[in-house]
Order: sequence, then structure tokens, then C-alpha cells
Amino acid sequence: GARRGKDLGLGYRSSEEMIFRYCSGPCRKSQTNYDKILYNLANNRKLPPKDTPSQACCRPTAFDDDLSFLDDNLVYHTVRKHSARKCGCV
Amino acid sequence: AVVRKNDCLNAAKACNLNDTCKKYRSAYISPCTSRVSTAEVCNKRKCHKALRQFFDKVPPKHSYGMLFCSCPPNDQTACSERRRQTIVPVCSYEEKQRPNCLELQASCKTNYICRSRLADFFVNCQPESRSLSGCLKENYADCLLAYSGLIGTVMTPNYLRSPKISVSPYCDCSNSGNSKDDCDKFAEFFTENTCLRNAIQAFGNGTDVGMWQPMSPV
Repeated sequence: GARRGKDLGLGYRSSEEMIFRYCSGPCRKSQTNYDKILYNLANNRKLPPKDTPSQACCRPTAFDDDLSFLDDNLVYHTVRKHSARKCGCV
Repeated sequence: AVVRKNDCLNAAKACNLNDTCKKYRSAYISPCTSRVSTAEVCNKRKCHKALRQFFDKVPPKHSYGMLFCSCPPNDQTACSERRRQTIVPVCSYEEKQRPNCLELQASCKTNYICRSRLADFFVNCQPESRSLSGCLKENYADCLLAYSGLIGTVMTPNYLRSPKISVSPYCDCSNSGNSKDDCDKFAEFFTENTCLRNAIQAFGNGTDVGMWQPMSPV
């Protein structure tokens, strides 16, 4: 949805708005043998107890075009890789 | 506090919520704000090219929305300054020295794009005091198209810091010698042009909406 520049928490003071697209959702259907092995090893407690490698996670696999805006002090900024274009379990 | 409406800010918001406008806006702001060396604030050639693309590719609803947004007459900051910043003047407009306008015109005529766009501007924004619109060719859309076409050439015009709408390329008429009258006439076609001023105001006020159908870039 539309977000105001100040909401982003990147330190900009701007009244402009942008569309922020993000990725979310479960990734339980492991996609690679790596994920299956990891899942089985973790479930069978074959891994060192303090070591818990990350499972597949729903993350951006491509980002939206760059975004430019003018801040409240009339300075331009361009932010890159700020919003998701495609998502995937990676 | 009283929150005054800021059409120029609203146009910028609308642009970034539209994928095409957002993409081409960022595509010119990046080169127009990237310092290339200690001596140069930007690559002016790249900035101009990207600005021409912006006005070629983005529907007028969005591109004109930012360029011709209307500001309250006594506003000299939030709205008007934002409108002045639309073309990133520090890169696309200002030079170390302000050349004479006739010299600038001569240099424009050596470039195919600039020559044809300047000719378009003089045809389509010709003032005519006896017509109701203020224009000889009573077509505001053609005048605004011709004016915006100059952005990204050596004749790139911008708003002056003035209480009324007044625009000019980055030049003046000092050192004109015997050509002072010619130079003043040329400069006033920008700064004191009733046809162009009416066209900009009509767009800003939304009083000329019938003419704003999508048009193909030229």
C-alpha cells in the first residue's frame, strides 16, 4: 500500500508517498534437497544443539524500479532495492 | 496549523504511485543528481537525455501535473520551489556563467533536436492579444507540448523566482551590443508570454480539461 516517506524509518523527511510491496507467507514445502536434508536433520536432532540454520524463507527475488523523491528541504534522494517485485522461497 | 494544499506535492505523490511515472522520474533524477567529478555536479548530457525521455514517455496527466502544477500567488516556498526543482535545475538549467540569449539561440540552432523544438515553441505559443485565449493558435495543449519539448535541450527553460508565472532559459541580454532589441524580444517571448502563461494557468486550474486526452509522444 501507499506509505509516506516519514514512515519508512530510513531517516528521510519527505511528505511524498510511495508504494511498498513486501513478501510474506509460509515456505514449508521445501523446494530443494538441501532444505529437505536440513529439515530432517533438525527434526532428528542430528545437528549441534546451538546451531539452527535458516529454513527457506519468503523473500524478494527481484526489486521494484528505483524510487526518487524530493525531501522537505528540497533535496532529491534516490533509493534502490526498497520494494519487492517478485517473491520466492529462498 | 493550517495545512495548505500543495498541488505540486500532490502531483509528485501521484507520480510515485504510478509505475511508469515513478520509473522515468527516477531515471532522470539519478543522473541529474549524481556528481561525476569534483568540478561537475552531474553529467548534463545524460541528465538532459533522461529529461527528454521523461516528457516523451510519461502521460501528460503526470508529467504536466508536476511541471505545470498551480501554486498560490503569494507562495514562494513549499509549492513554487518544488515546481522549480522539477527539472533538477542545478544540473539541467544552471551554468557557471549566464550566456547571452542570442548566443544561446545560435548554439541551439546547431542542434537538430533543439532547432526543431524551438521552432515548435515559437509557432505554438505565439501570443495574440486580440484572441480570448491569448494565443494566435488557440490550442493550449500544443503550446504546453512545445514548451515541455524544450526541456532537455540547451534552451531548457525554468520558472523564475517571481510572484507571477514567468519562465526563461538560462540566459540574459547583457552584452548584446547592437542586438539588444532582438535579444529582449527573444527573452520576452519566454518571460512575458501571455499565451504560455494562460496555458500553464489553465492546466494548473484544471479549466482546460477537455483538451487533455492521452496523446502519443512526438
